[in-house]
Amino acid sequence: MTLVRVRRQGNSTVVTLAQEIVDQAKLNDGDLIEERIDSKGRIVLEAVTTQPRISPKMAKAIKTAARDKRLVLNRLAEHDRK
Amino acid sequence: MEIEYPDRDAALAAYAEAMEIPFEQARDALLKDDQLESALARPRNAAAYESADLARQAATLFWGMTSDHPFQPSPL
Repeated sequence: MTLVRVRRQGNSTVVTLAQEIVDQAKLNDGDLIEERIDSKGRIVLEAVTTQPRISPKMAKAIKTAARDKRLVLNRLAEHDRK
Repeated sequence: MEIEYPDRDAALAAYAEAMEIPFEQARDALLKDDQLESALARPRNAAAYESADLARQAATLFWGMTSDHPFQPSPL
């Protein structure tokens, strides 16, 4: 458990996340976090899992390629495992 | 014919599909973000600066991805 300080920065109230929290939660620059107060009055920060933004054409191409080349991909994965 | 270039999300989705893992795990498997971005930029650069055709553009992307290894090897 780490203690962090609440700061005023201009008109905003800011808290800096400890690095171990960032690492454990696997947060990346630009990720969305939902913030709320739970029934016990705790501040909850929850990472929002967004679906990747891919065009339908791209998504179809990816699925088709993976399906058509499944045997090759499995062979390559097998090779990695050795 | 309009060429559609894969972006970071597309690369992650392709990795997830190829490795048969969820999309979130693909993000974890990404070791070198800069190298992924630079590999993804190659085909467009080749088109702009070398007048590369579609095959050559695809080859530059393939080259960038395989020589830079932005993803970690299979953990399986």
